[in-house]
Amino acid sequence: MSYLADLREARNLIALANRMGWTDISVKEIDKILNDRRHKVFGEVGSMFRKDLLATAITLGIVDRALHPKTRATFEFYGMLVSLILAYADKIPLLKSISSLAGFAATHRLTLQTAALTLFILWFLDLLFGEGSYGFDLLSAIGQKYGFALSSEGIVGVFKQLASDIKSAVKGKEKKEESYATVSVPTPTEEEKVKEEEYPIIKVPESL
Amino acid sequence: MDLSEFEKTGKDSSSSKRINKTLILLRAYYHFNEAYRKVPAWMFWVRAKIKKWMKRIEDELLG
Repeated sequence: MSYLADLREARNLIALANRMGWTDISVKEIDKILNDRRHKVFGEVGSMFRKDLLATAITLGIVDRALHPKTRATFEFYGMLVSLILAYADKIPLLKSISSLAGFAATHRLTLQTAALTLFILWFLDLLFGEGSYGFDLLSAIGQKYGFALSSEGIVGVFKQLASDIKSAVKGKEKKEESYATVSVPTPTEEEKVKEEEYPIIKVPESL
Repeated sequence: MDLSEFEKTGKDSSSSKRINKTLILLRAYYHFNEAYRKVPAWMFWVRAKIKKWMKRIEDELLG
């Protein structure tokens, strides 16, 4: 029962008390809170971001990303199936008879549903943008056409590539700074070289 | 208590009405308390309103 359900229950009782002559609290006051749009929107968002559910989703995301790309899809797909089965264990005919499993499902249903949803989203993203997927092929084809390349590790690879690019850019800058510090020996420019090639200087022996 | 009515019918409607009202307010207080417990902390304005209503019921019940 959410707080809104409790408030609704209290509102009905207060309405009854009002009819019996007690009017210290008016129903309109409670209705104002119940019909406030802010509660509907923020209440839903607030319940969505319950701490335990958010922690479950983040943990699953981290574990999933830490896995090797080959085992990742398997983990996501079977993890999703197992958490869905566990979430509805008290409603599936064969599993219903196992009381401990049914109790676990009833108490942890929301967490299990979140786990299933998280794994499904990750699996779907991997299907779309993971290595060897149609989405990845499409993106790499677009990349080839417009001059940017994608890493072979999918969407994670893109970020890795970006990180390594930034690293190399920073290192390159440092190297450049180092090279400015050292004494440079002037070398003949290309124009001078070309001139030499075009008009070879003939050295006349001194005896002549 | 209306004595003449009590003598005639054997029922005390006014006190039964009062008991009913007390029970209703007690139940309402319970639900307000539950709602107060469940409202997220950042919805402070709702909490304040519920607390105010609970106080009014307390005043009614305890006198």
